[in-house]
Amino acid sequence: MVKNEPMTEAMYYVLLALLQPCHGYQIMRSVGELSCGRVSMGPGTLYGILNRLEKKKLIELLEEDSRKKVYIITDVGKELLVGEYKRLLAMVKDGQLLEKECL
Amino acid sequence: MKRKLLITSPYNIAEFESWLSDLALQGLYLKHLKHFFAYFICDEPSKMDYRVEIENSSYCVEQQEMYQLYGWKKVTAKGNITIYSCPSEQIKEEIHTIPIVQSYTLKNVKRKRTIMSGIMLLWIFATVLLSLYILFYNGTPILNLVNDGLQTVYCILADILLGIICIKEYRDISITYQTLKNGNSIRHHISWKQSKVFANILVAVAVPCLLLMAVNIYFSFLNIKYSIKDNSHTFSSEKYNTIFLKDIEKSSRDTNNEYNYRIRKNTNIFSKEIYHICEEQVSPYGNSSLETVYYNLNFKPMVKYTIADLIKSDMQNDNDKDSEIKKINLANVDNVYIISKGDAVYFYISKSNEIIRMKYTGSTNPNEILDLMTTFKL
Repeated sequence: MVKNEPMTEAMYYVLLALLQPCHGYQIMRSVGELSCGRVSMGPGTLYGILNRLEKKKLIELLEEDSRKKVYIITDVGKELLVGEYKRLLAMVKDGQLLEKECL
Repeated sequence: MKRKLLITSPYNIAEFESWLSDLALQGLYLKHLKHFFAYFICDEPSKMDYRVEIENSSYCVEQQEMYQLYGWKKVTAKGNITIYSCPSEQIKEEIHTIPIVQSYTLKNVKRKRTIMSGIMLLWIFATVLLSLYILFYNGTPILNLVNDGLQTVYCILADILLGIICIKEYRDISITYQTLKNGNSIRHHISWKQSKVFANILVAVAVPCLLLMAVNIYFSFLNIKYSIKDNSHTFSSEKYNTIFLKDIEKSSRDTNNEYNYRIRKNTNIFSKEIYHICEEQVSPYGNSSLETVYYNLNFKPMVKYTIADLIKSDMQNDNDKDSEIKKINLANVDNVYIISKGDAVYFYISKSNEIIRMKYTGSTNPNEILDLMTTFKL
């Protein structure tokens, strides 16, 4: 996630979901939609990730009331997300060899 | 409502959750947690799963609702620990699906506990050392025990107990954190019997510790009641089983000088009664003083060792080690030892469970004092 920490799949999708302002339940739904139901996470995991991302300043609180917290991705978060996307693209590109050999 | 001793700290998530689930199978459902106890309500046995959540930030309502949506209902919370439950057949999704993310929730707790445990262990180490120093001060452990009761022993035991609890809790957090960090999920149904055995051992140590503390408090109250500082001249010597400076000086010179008394009386688990009497007399014939310590011990085997320690304590200097110890036979007491050291004469007298140690400084011949001792009421 930061230099020496890998970004987990769940974190990647949470950051993707937070390109739009979202609260917890919306994030959960967005992650499900974005990954076509492939990624599912428990509520504890979601809030664990949100706390972690907020501490690392990759996301920030946009609105807060006693009921819910609305988050959005920060510029640093976007930068990291783009970096991760590029890394994944590069990995997919490198893996194209497989298509010729195995698929 | 039924109360049960916690078999392990909630930071040992796997065992704690398993323990709660197994109790639910016996019809005991967690209601709330306190320091060392968990409180349960009794109902029909059923399969219930529990999850321990360790969180550093506050929960918003939405988060609680989300947990409920997945079937997890909040049972109780204590500090940064929240416990959720869900009937086993109704679990839609685990609260935590990614172990490494769950490990983040423990990271801060682990850091704080490491610092706290370190400080605590240093403190425990220092107090144990201090207690041992007090116990073995002057190389007279029996005398120190007789004087202080079990205070030092109790302190050492309590410290060791606290240390074990501290280390155990730190170990629990570390193991749970490492398991999660390595990507392994918490196992929600494991055996907790070992922890129960360990908890029972802790209780076996803690109960005597608490009893000692209660005894200690009881004797402290007695000592407050007994603490007498009597400097009056109307002081009644009749109630003390010893001879007084007045008796000694009267036997040699029939003077009516005034005497200063200072008396301190106490009691503890080893001695029914201890009193320290300091007397001084200033007269034209010369000054004299008498320091008396009286013990009425509860355990007879301690008498011999207490006298040995009293002598050792009085003869601390290298020059004193050569002082001759005279053993005298007196009809109405068991043992009498006399040591002359400089201007002072030390008497150590015992009969049955009673011991008197006197340090006399003055001009009266020790033999005259010995004659007085034949009238002892011991």
